[in-house]
Amino acid sequence: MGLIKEKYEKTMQVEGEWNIGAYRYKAPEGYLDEFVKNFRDRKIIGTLCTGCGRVYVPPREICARCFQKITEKVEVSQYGEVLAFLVSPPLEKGKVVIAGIDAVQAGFLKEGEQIILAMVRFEGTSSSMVLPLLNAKPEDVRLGMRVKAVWAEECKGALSDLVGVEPAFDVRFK
Amino acid sequence: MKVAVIGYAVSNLEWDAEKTREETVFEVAKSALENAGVSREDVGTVISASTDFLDGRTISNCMLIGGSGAYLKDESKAEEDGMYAALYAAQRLMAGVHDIALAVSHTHSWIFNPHQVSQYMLEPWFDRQNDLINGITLAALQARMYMEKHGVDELDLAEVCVKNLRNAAKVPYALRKLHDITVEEILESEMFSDPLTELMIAPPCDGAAAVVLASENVAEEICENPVWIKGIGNSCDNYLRDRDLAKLNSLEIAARKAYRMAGIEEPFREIDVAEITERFAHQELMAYEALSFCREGKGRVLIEEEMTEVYGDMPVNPSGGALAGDPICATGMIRLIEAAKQIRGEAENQVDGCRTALAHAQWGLCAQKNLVFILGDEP
Amino acid sequence: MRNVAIIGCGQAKHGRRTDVNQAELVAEAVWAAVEDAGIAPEDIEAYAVGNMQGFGGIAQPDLVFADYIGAAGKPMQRVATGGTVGGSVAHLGYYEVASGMYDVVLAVSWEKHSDSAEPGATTGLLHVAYANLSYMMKVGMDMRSFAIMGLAGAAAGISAYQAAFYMARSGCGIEHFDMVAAKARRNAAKNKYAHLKWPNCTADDIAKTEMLIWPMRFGHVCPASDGASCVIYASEEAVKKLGVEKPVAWVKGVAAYADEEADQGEAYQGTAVVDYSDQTGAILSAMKAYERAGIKDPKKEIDVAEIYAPFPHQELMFSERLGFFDDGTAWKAVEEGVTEIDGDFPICPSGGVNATNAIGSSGMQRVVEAALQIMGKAEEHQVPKDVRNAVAHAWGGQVQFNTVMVLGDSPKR
Repeated sequence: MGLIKEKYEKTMQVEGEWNIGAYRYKAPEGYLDEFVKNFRDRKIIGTLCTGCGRVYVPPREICARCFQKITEKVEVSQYGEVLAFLVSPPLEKGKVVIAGIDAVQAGFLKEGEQIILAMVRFEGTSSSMVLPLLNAKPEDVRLGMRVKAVWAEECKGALSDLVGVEPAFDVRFK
Repeated sequence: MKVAVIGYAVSNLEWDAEKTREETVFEVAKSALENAGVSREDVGTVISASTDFLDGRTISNCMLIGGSGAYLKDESKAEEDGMYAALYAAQRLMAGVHDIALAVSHTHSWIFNPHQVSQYMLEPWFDRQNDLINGITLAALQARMYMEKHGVDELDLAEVCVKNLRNAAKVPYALRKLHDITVEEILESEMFSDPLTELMIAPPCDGAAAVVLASENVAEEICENPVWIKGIGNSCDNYLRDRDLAKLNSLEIAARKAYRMAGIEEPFREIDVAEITERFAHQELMAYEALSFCREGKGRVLIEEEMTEVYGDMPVNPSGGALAGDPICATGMIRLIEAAKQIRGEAENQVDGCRTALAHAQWGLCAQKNLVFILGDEP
Repeated sequence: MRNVAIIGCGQAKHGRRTDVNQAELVAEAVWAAVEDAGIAPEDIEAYAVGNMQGFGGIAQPDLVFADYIGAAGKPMQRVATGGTVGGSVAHLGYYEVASGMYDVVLAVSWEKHSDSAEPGATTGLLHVAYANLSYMMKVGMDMRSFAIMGLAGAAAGISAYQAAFYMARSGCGIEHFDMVAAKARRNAAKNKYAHLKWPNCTADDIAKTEMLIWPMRFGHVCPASDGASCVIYASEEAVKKLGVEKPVAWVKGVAAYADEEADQGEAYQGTAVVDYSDQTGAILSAMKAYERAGIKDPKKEIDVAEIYAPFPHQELMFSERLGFFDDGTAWKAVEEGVTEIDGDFPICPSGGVNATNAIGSSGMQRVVEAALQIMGKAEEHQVPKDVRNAVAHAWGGQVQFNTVMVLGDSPKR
């Protein structure tokens, strides 16, 4: 169809942008700050909803199920299990481009490495977290695999302190 | 199926609120439910209102399901004023699939200049290429056109502001409370775009509002004094260039529909109070005419003769209206709430013997889209 | 409750549409629907509209082109809910009639991805979590973690995780995803409005495509299309009054239940959604919609389903959550060819979202396709059996929104 368009095959193009970088988003302080600061001591804390007993990691202020504020915080285990996982192909230049930056070229990721992303549930929590699974070969990863948190050599109280997880107590007959 | 407002809540309207969206929404949703005397389990459907551009997030309601109480509820999001969310919630009740609905709306204007968003609302091929055009300058054009056409001057606009801002002084949550404001101060405030000065423009701010609606099956059981929605009118005008800016055509259509549905023949006599969304002072005068409170071009007479004061014959915006604080998506919903408060006799600037109230929300550039509710104390 | 029928459907040609602008694209679907319904534009009393504003870059685009779709001076309501937006608009249009406020309502939703300078829907999708990413950078996320997140993000974000969860849960393999994707492309070849058409595509063809991140291949990913879809609703009285004699599709039940988001929240918060393939919201939506439609056994009573599945695992997962197959068994049905156009339980005979994804349009397109199957107007991809009930599903948000609509060939009594 086309209302006035029979004669034209292409539209004119004009520029315009949605300047998303100019927004000043508000993020919750308190628990979440504490969560990250506790990484300095290699601790993982979450919040406990007194209504349903669920433990949220990273901490959450409002429990959707009970529709109430969460006030209690708890430290959770460093050990957990793999619920599911993704495996990247060996990385090459030009494959991972984020915000215009080639992550391999820039050295954020190594050429040829394979990254395993594990959906982990730490013991005692009701949430799953996505973390890189380190020190394991893709073929050795299995569901229900026990893992433990891996920390940076020097923890500064930043999100990057929690580097990922690695197999723990994973004894297999060879 | 008839629908009633049985509970409501408005957050404090402020600039740079120390709260996240989730907290703001959670607090109003929770207190509206408390106000209605129901729990989240009783609610059948939840409709929220927010927009992606104002919130700076694609799918603005995506992370607010927990906060708005929509967890495992029949839900949706209206991407316009909160009163449209209330309308959608009412439609769901009228369809008979649910008995209690919660409508929640919010905007945090501090996070991004809403007048920039008004620029994103322009059609991108020509209008947006012109940096001079935005919500304020367009409103100024509209004001000028209206003023020229009907011999209205800046003083009349200032009178509207004085009335609304003085009314707002008593409203606890309002942003602009100016008890002793005078016409001179309004006119001398900073000129934004001639003829609109700073105080003639609704101040964008952070805020949220929520209402609980119930169908006739349960409203009277739950609530002692439900406020009934008796008439609804809704209309959308053409885009800027294709409409008469000097007239709120779509509001006139919407009002006529709402009056017909509510059985109102003489709005001036039958309506006790009106709460309208006037993003700019002149829009209140234009609304008087579109709502048939007076003949076309006579809006200024109403304000000059103080008829729209709280003590007047046709009180308009006793809450202070949008000029007292404009949390974009929540503004219309707050008008609905204020109209309901008038009928319940709970308003700060209570109009005596209020039985029929009008609530109005606008959306779009120069009030392109308009929604009118008529509320009453009996079904 | 009032009975409401779909009396006309319209679709724009989907694909990369550089020959029209957003307004013209929408108008194309709207006027096709008006023509299909055989009514005059004046008969339409109200409008329901929606898209994802960020993708096309216009805030409230419907206000810009109200006159293109004949909405000027009429009531128009807008909803937007992410991937479900098409489904949500369909629901809104239905409720506008069911509430008794209007008799004839037009519902249209659309998306124009090609207006975005970046490939596909990157900008729009990134902005779902832009605030969260900014926050995470502020509390010390390093560039390596950021890149790792992007790794999965490039393969359609959270859906890759969902695929992994679904595999873990059901025991299906990637070959089943290949089969579903191949079916989508094959079916799309029969649909004149579809985007990615590949006649006689086989699972092996898909298996040859590059692995983006295990278990998701390039061949599994939906395209970013431009498109618009539209339906016109009429109340039972209006169907009589307008003298509609062609077959119509009756809306029997709708529901849209939302779960908590699967990841992150306002900044960087945990949720209690542990398994992204749980989809409690989808189960609830389906159960409620069936209840309202008076359907007791969806396995027997539903004849065809249009599922919103941009990625093949979702077709398997949702066909279980919507009650067509038992939990964890859908892949067996696919092996047996049950979900083919001529199978016992055809799913996405139109090719589905996996072959054509204009986000805002997709949810509505499911409703359109389900209605076409009931009306018997699906042409080449019409299922070769008597269609009495059909289901249209949409999914969106951060894998937590669902809309379900049950359509039937006769009004509910």
